[in-house]
Amino acid sequence: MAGSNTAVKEALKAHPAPSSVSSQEVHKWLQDFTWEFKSNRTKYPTKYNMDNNTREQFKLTAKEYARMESVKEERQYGTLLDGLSRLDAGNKIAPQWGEIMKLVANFLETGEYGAISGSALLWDSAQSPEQKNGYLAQVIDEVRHVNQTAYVNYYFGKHYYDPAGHTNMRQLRAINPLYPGVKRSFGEGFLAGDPVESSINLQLVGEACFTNPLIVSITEWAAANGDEITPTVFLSIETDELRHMANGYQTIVSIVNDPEAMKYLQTDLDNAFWTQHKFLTPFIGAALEYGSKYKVEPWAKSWNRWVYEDWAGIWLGRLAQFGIKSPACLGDAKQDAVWGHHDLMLLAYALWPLTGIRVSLPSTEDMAWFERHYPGWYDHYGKIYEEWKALGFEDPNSGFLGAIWMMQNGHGIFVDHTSSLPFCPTLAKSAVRPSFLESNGKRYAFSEPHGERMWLQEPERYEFVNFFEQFEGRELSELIQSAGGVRSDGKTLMAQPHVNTTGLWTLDDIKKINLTIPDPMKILNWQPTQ
Amino acid sequence: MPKQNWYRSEIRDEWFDKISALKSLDEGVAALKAFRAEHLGPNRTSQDLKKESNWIESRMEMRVAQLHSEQTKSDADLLEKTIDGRPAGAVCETYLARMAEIECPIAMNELCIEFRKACKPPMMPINYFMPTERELVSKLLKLRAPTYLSTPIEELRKMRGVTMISVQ
Repeated sequence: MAGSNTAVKEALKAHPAPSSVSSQEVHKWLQDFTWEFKSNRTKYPTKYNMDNNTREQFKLTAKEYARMESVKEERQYGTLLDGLSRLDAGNKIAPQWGEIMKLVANFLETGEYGAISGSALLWDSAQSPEQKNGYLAQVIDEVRHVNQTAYVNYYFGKHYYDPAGHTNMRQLRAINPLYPGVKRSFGEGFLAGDPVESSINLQLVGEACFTNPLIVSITEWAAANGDEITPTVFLSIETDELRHMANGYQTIVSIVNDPEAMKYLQTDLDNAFWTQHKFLTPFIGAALEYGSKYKVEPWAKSWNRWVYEDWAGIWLGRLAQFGIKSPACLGDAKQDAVWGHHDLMLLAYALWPLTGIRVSLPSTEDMAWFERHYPGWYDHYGKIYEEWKALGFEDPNSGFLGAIWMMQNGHGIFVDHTSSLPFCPTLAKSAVRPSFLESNGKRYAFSEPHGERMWLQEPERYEFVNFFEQFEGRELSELIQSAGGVRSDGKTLMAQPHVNTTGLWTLDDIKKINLTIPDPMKILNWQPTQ
Repeated sequence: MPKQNWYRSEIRDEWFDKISALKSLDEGVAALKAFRAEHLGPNRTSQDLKKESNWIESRMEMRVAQLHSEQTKSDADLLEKTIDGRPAGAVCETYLARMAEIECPIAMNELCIEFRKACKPPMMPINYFMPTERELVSKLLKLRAPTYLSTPIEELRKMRGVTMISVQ
């Protein structure tokens, strides 16, 4: 056999088979099949003119793209379905991490879903055939990512020892007070408004800035906590993100030669950064540090390296030649990076029955780690958690709920109207500078002036109904039940305030608390201040 | 229209019955105009139906579009005229002419809201509504962006007529 192979090789060497046309030639040829742009203007309102001659960096044809992606799919699903299943990887995960992935994978699925629309509206808006090609490839990528993130929940649902929540987080997120923040940044931010602003939200900030800490850091933390599933999927996703970051850069390149664009670009960049930061900075930090047993690098340090130095310094530095500056809100964001995730997690603990996951208060070991990396953490947050634990935070017979403790102690919870996230003005250590106002018969809360400015400038854009407005007057156990937040016995909650297998809370335990959802913007004695 | 059972609220049921009772186009158009003025957009005069207003509006639009198509025999009328029989192109021109005179973002914002409430389908065919709204909103975006970050927040509050409040 070896002899015949040699003969074939020698014959081919002497008479080479005709080679195909190179893929770059095919790409160039395909660009001739283009559209008549004079009569094909985008249907979306925009301030910008995208240059008809913008190039695309990757120059992929559909055939090359499909070949590349199919290899990635084979590696990813092959690893999950064969190697990791045989190793029982789903059951070697620290419970805290298995729980937080119920939220992370599901929330990210929303982002990928929004990104399908965002890159599609950019395809519609671009005038250059090459630029359209880049956005089109991203649309297909995002479809792939929706499937992948959903598959993480599906895989955990099959292999992780506590599937409740992985199985139906799409349903449970309807009552999760944190989820509207996802809709604002990943939904509205990625696919509404000016298409170039959407590109900045999605590609220049969401992908170029935050996928490094989100998708790369999270794989490191996952692996440290025994999770081999998340790195397998998320790193496969991240290989596509490079192309998307390049799309974001090309969006900027396509408009910067128009002097008019410079009147608008800095505003869109500042707003997009604040929109993405408001959710991503506290959420990723909380997921990593409070969803883990084994700690890696403090979130504030990761944030500083990826967001402050790499993105705001180096990445935006490349755009400085066009007059782009780092966002003016970067200083406040830096303060949030240290304390925002601790503030958000305090509220997640306070509202745990609505999260759909099993949360656990920081252990003594965790507290020491927090205090070491965030000096002052214990006096501010640690003492509260110790008090809550003593009052029966974990005990289903205690009737204790953090949210009620906060209200009784004068720590009101409000929803920031622009970011859609809850905040507590009296317990926040992040860059919270609250304001409350009344307009046209309705009261609004804002956690800081950047968001208030966005609402004042674009009130028609922020029409959202917040958690308190939506569920005002509903009794808590009834609300949880109606959202599908119980296990297969019909009474034990999916969410729990610990990761033990005994002492599980049921609907009856919540009913005993007797909490009817109030709307703080209605029940408190609000009066004009000027 | 059959009632949907996967999500029910008393408010939806009440409006479902009101919408089903609309029997003429004139009646439907008047009801839709009144509803949009009272319950939609940042200048709504009532916040009472905020949770359900988008759903109610969509059902009213469906009913009015149905009455319109039943009453209108000509494709040309459906594609070229507003629901009350005016040439859609001419109506759009009046808004675009007003747009050309405006340089204040707040005034432009008001014009965009006015156009949307008056002309959003089925009040006007989508082939006229959408390109005109794109022009109007593009101008609004251009007028807003240059001073978006630099206008003092106190000035913005004054421009929007808000009242600062606190808990007493």
